[in-house]
Amino acid sequence: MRRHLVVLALASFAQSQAATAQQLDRTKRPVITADSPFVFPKMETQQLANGLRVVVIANHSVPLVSVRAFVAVDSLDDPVGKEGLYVLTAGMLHEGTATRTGAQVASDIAMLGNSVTSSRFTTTPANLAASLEILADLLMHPTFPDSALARLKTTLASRKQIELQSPATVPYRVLLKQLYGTTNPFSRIGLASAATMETIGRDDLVRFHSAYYRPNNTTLIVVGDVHATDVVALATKAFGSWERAQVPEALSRTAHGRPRTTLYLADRPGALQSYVFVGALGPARTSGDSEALDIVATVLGASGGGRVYDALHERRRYMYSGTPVAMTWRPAPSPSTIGGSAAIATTKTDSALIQWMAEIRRTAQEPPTSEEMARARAALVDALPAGVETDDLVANRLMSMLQTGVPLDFYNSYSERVLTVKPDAVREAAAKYLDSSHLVIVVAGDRKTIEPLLRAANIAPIVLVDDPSK
Amino acid sequence: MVKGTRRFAAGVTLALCAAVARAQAQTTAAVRPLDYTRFVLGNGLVVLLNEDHSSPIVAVDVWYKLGAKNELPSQTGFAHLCEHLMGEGSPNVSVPERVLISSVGGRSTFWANTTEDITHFYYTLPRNALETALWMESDRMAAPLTRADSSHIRAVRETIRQERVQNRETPVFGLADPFTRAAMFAGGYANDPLGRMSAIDAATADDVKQFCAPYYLTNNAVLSLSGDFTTASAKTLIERYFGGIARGDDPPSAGQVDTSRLRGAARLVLEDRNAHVATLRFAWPSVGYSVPDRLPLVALASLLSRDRTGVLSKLLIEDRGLATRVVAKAFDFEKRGIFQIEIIPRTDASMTTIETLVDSVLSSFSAQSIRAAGLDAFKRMNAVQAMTSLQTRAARADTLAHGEIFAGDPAVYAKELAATAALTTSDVARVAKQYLGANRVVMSMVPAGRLDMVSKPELPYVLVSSPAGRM
Repeated sequence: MRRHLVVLALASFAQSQAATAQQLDRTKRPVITADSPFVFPKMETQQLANGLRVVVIANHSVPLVSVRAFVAVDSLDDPVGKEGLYVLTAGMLHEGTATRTGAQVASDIAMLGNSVTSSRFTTTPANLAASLEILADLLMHPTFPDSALARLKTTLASRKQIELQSPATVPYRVLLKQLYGTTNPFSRIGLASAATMETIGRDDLVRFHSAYYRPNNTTLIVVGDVHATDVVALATKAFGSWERAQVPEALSRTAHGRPRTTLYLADRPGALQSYVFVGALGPARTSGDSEALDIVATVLGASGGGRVYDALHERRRYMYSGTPVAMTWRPAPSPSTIGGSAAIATTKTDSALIQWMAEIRRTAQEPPTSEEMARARAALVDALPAGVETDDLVANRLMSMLQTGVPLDFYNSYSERVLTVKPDAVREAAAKYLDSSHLVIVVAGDRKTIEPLLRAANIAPIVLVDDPSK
Repeated sequence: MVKGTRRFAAGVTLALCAAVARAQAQTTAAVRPLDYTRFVLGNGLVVLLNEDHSSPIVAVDVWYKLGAKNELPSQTGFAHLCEHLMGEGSPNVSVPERVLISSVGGRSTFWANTTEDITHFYYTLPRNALETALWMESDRMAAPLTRADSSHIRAVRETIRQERVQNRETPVFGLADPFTRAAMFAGGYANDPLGRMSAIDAATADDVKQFCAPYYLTNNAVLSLSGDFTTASAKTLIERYFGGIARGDDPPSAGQVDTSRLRGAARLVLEDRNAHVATLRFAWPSVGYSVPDRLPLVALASLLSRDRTGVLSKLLIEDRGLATRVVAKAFDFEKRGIFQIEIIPRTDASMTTIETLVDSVLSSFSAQSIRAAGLDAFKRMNAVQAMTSLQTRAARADTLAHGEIFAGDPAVYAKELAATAALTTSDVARVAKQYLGANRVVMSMVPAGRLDMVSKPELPYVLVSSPAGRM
């Protein structure tokens, strides 16, 4: 460790300070000179004989390696009546394999020093092979012991109760149900009910695992202090015996039509803040409108400069923090969600929604100013390097690309695509997808205080709702 | 932004340093040390520079030694109020901090944070915007609290009112921490960094300036940078922007912070009408950051509750089926700490039974049971975490500044790593016996109206959850 001696430095500082203090004009903001454009880290992709895709990004700046295993399956694939099957299956992967009991899984991981789950670990290169062997064992050879299944069901039931304690849970479920429609798997997002969990047995898990957990449905991401050839050799050793098989088609995830703007009101007696969601359906990440919508979300929702954010926070102090407009990209081809949420002072619920809606309407009519475009470019383009600062962040970015169904070179030309979007294209995207006459508004709050306010404000027809999972 | 407790050490704080290679024999790759330069300007500002060219970004982290422990009871929340006012702008920066920094591509999790001990402002931004950040930080350091006028205070007060509701009143059992501290500590550590609304509502601009100004000084601050700059050029910029700021008088030292008010167990019951699930908490006063016993206490927390191999988590979740979650944590403030165990029981389980089991485990904790619980595995985890936790520039700048302020040594993490590797089972057994004794807080957190769920209800307890009890 270097350490500069204070004593030696003091004399010269005193002199230079006297000199610079006179020259410094604090009214002059420093000029920022352009930097070289962002380049996404270079990746190498290979496919093993059994169909497993291996993506490697070498980064030798730190002796670490981040690994992610992406299996293309999630709660959306739960069959109707068996909601909770994916969560139970994924949780049970850690409860024992053909060669390890659940306790041995735990103690073998403890001996490594880094955690290993069936989907991820971050460790030193020296621990890579041993960690990868455990991850592969969890994915390929789970035994699903009955006693652990009973315990996991109890834990998930408790977790569901804890989730319901959050003021965001109920309104978010209402939003998804209204946006995507009751028959769409998205409306079932969240933890399954106790009733459907009861119907799920070990055989269901075995079948579900056998159907979806296949090498040809899996991508292994390895980022860090490694060489691609070594990774492929390790992956072949760990996953080579995994047998490929046809994977079921995804359930239909088409969303229904676009109903007129409606305000759904859920009672949370005595709440000091209302939890408000405002949203609409957007296109998939693969759409040509996706960069324009990233700008729409920034122009409206960004903290420090976003139109809705400033209206609710900077100018009126109705909320402390929140993300009133953002893009939530879903697995392609499913539609995304454009919108967001904020916790609003109960007595300001109506005023906040009036402002919120006014800014949405304005954005469909007025293109962003040049200052707003510059802010959006700073947030989306200039901030890109910080978003992939570490091996973990790079690996997570690859995971989200796989989840949203875009090609893995998506970010290679992302900056150029953002920089070519014209202000009027931003306005058009806002008008098309965030149309004030086709929004879902959900408010969870103290009904006896806010219902009269919301009725008087006449923002939209009001429908009273309960927790949709009940 | 306030976080009740800044950090709990899941492992010993964090390094990319040569000590890792020694501690962990199987790590054959050369471990790059977290290299830094420290210097002090003539006005007392401590500067820490960690030069790293692997990504074109810089983390900026400015710390002031002012936290909730410096407040009198009539001033609770003033340090946090000043954090907000400092973020509203300065003589030559007309917009709030986050507006300026995000307009040049900067980002931050919370932008600023006020804890029991310190206030800091932090973000990560593109390397070509470093001078802009130094210009802004020096402008508000040269003329702090220029926004402490009645109109800004009125606006900020409303923001804080919503922050309090969002982070204390709304979350289920969100008042557990303030009630725990108030029961445990006499003096400054009894203060909730978010403060009491009554004190904040009563605060005038003069009150606030009078309280905070003696701390917003170059000689009470640390500027820590990590990222893509050369040390020489950063030094030149820092001298230019900060060198001309006059130093102030020595800031007042915090009042009494190191006394516990516990005489035996304080049994508290917290009700919440939005709760569906109960929680049982045990909390003991423990040691401050620089006290050597902190390291075996961190090890102890991990051995009690880590994953499914922890002594308590294995017993309560797997063997006895009484709980769904067990978390032990060692929190460290500058001068004091809290050792805490929280258990979420299964809906059909008795918290009385759980309390009895916890007590029997703690009273029979021995060197032998610690060995069985895997002290060696903990050390391995600590060594790996030392590297994985210091990946971001923000974490590096933060760790260096924290070490400088709390231990007088930015690189203290390296020494802690070596000290943790040398811990013995009897060190851990000794701190369990010494600190986890009868002087503690036992808090039963239950859904409203479910006093039948309280642990050991026959023992006298204080109900702290009535509306009047809201802080």
